Amino acid sequence: MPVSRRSFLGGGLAAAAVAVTGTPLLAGCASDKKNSAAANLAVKLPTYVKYGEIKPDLPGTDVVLDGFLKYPANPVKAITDKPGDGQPITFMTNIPGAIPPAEDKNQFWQALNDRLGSELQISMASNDEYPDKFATRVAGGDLPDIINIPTTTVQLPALLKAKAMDLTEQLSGDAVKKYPFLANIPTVYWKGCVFNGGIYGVPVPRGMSRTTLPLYRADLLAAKGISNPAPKNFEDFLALCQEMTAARENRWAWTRVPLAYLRQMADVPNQWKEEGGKFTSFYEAEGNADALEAGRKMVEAGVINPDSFSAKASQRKQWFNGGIASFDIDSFVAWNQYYSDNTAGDAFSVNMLDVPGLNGGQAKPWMGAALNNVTAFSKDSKHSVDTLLKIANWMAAPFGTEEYLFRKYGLEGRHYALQGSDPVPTKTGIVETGIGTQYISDSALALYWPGKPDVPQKQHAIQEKIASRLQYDASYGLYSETMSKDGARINGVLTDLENQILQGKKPVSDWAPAVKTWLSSGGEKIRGELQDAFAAAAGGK
Amino acid sequence: MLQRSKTRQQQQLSLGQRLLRDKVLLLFALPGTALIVAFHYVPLLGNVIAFKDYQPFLGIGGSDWSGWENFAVIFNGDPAFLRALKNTLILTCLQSIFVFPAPILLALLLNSLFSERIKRIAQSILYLPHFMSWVIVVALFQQMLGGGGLLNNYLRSHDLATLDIIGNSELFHVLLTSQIIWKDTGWATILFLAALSQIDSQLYEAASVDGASRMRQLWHVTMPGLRGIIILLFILRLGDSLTVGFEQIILQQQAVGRDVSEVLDTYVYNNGVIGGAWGVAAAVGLVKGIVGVVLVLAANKVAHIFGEQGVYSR
Amino acid sequence: MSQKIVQGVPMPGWPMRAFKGLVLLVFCAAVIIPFVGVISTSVAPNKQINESGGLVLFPKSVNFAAYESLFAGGVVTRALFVSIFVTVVGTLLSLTVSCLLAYALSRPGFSAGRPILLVVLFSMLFSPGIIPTYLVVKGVGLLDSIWALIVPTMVSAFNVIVLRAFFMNLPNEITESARIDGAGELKTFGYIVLPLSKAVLSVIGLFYAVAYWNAFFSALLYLNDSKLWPLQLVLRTYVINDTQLGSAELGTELLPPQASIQMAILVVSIVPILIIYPFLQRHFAKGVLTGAVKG
Repeated sequence: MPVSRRSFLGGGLAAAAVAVTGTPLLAGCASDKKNSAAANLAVKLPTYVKYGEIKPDLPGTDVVLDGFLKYPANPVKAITDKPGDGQPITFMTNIPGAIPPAEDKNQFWQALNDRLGSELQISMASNDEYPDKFATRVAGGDLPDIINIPTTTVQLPALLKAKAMDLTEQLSGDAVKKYPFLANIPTVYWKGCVFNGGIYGVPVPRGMSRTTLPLYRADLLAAKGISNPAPKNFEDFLALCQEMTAARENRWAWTRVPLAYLRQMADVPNQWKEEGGKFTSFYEAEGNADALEAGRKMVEAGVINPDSFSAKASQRKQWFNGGIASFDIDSFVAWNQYYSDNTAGDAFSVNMLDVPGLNGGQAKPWMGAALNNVTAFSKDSKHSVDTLLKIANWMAAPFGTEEYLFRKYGLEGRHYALQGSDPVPTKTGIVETGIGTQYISDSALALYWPGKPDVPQKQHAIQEKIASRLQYDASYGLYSETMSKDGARINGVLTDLENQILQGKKPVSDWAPAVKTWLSSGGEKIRGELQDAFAAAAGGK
Repeated sequence: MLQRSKTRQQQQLSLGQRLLRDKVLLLFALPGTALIVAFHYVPLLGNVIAFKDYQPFLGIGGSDWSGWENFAVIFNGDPAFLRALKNTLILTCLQSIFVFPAPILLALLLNSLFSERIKRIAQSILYLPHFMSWVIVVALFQQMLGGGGLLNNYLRSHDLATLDIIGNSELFHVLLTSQIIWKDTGWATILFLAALSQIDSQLYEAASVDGASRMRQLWHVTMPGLRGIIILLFILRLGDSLTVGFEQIILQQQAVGRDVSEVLDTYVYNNGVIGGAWGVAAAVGLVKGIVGVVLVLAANKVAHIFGEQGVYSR
Repeated sequence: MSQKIVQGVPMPGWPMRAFKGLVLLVFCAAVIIPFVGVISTSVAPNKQINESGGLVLFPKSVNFAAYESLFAGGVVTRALFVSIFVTVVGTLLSLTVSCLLAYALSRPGFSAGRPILLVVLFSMLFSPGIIPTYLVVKGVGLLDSIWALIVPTMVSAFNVIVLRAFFMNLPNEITESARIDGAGELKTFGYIVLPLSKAVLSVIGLFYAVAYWNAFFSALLYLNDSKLWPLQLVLRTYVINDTQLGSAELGTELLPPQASIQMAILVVSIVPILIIYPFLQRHFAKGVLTGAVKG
């Protein structure tokens, strides 16, 4: 549960240093005929050219996100020409929220079409049902021009080869400079878009914004006289949780067991660790037993909401917003979400915990998954590659530009009200803007919350604190056929066991044999494929 | 008498002659049959992917044959599969014993009420939960009976012992069964109420003239009137007995663990669908269908032995 | 009005009556309490909902913000009209086609009856996959048409089999005498069988109507333009994006809606059924006693 499939399959950022130098360090599945790591290595990744027109209040690095205390006044219009070709462009995506008003009743959508210079026809499905929708449209052979492809899709390289345009010529190396906002996406994110020896998609980058650590209600902790909590070890941490629990008043410290956090405390690696070409799964790490034991203790101590194992995400958010829980483990994106859902009044305040070692010292937090999805263009599309890339480029205009302001907030007056230079969304704005354009392409998240400069300040501070200690997933950008086919299946067994152990229904000693089974039923094969892919990539250097 | 002589006459005619004679009935049956064939049997041909390593982007023709590989998930004797089968059979038994008769009993209870008004009001309340999706039903059960739900919050704040209902592995099968009863019993009564209303009222009058007690009326008039539909529905349910609910279970699986909550459908989901193995889902669907056919045919035969109609006459 | 029968039957003793009353009361309470929770939560302030953990029985104040935001933007209103169209037209077509088929299958002398019945019966036991069905729907040109919500699901094998059983249950003498009077199949069906089957027709009609009303999956697969989406699919995007099923599979941001909206959705989707139910209930809940008066 805390180690969701999301984080497992998404992978994390690979060595940041590589990204900075722009060295094309790529790999794929060596066993696959066309998707060999050596072939992928030959691809020159798009050159990273940082867009320099916007000056953040809290400058980031290649890891830490840029922070803004307010939206820049008089935002620059960064793109002068309409990207579209006048013909309708179709797009298929999942959407995370409620269905927005259809095109004919949605002024945001209409204004977007106008700015794009092409009508954008979007076919949507909710998160749950998108895999079915995606599979049927692939099978039916009627794919839209622009396709949101989940990174977990089975046989992704072969699928892309069969159905998607090869974008290498247009994007590789300096060619990308024609699309300045795609060039503004750091190189590391493009690594996840290379298959079959070519660039087959445009990234929807996430990375740092998906880094997940404990969020806490600073206002509730302050009411108990606790400010800037920084537990030194697990014992300290558990005492803090107990302090924030009052079961008789139906208050529990946690919305759920923060197993991922406990694992980080116990020095468990982020998904896959690579040392001298040898890969180790995080399931195999010794720290797991300690982390599970610590989680079990938390449940036993009664600091976890008793319904945490059956609750839905929205319930957990309610508990946190309603003060039934004062801790939840989630990302920077969720941090912002808590502010928009806030019902607790102006005092409401959220902050994030750093990770101590289980027995003291500092531990290494896990970097969030690099990509949300890859966006591919259908081979059968009647539009030119250039048009579609221009659309993607438009969608990637960064924070501070006029395009970004429109893309995320809509039209002034109808979709947001200006407070100073800050756009404060209206109800209509929230309803009409949620049409899924962020899954065509996106700029990196900027730390910002309209009207609350302390939010980006706190977020920026914690990011700076953890940046140097971040652990990356070594399997990112390496394709393993077995992982795509069997990963979810074999991981599911371990997730089930984790839940049983945490609830005290099974002993911690069951973990080790279960990991052995995991290895023999696919884990070992995944390791082999990853190692081959990695070796091929390294050998080609 | 009339029936029998007709049958004999029927046998003397050739098939073509009989079809010609029945042309009006054939015309009646045509649209419905055509729709079933077009939207059920034609796509069923696609189930050949049970024998393929099907990938949507390759198409049915383009995917490689894989022999019986997709069926391995069922026939390899994997302990996880046997566990799923066991839970499925337990739930099928519980559902046959408790869920199936519940609407019949409720229909009889409603039917025996003297006040027409109470009957209607009760019926109009009890059918409502049918319209809730499982997501909502599961959430409501948790919010009423869960560890942090209304009931336990009340108990806790009054220093009483709390009740461990939701997420309790031992009670899980019972919980599932009661959720189904809660959700669908009221709705399922309407078919039986319809059957009850079809019973010739003169039979009751005759019975009461004979001085039959209510119990005897129930036994000699009501039950014979309901028996046909009860047996029919039971046979149809049998055909579906390897299906015990998917969404309801997978939504609650995390809390109680797979040991008690894995059933065939969740097993297929967790071991095939989740990794995009469409062929496995098709293979299991085929096996379930064949088991269903066997059970329905057998049950129908048994019904005939006891002189009942069953689904179709012999 | 039902005295005639009641006189012949001894009233059950008070323990029996008390027992029945108690059973009904417990059952009804088990339904009503959560429903009160649903309605209360849909109108309660969000602050109270969050502080109580999701379900509110007694709202501190009443507001209709959830309903307002649900109907804002016109998505739900439009979907409501789509659903009403699909349900009304679909149910009428389904009933017509199913009754004709069931009637043919119920005739004892129908030579093709048995094979067709088996075709119907076995279709219940084997379900085709979603991809092949999609290909067929695409093949007959129904994609992106509202008829894709009606035609593929027009005949339910279960409903046909139940209808047939009820038709066969009709006293044989009636249909036979009609035949002797020279009535053709169409006449027997239209003037004798249908009028005598009002109860089962309203039940099967309700089954079909509810199936059409609740259907969302065909719309999801067959309709790319959300303009044509029916109510249940639109409402589902508010509820389903939030389950463990979805969030675990796709790496997407979660933006779960407020509990009040989820509950308002439930209320909105049930109200139309609440409105039509009593009209149909008349036909099947009549029961023996009132039926007796007629006889």
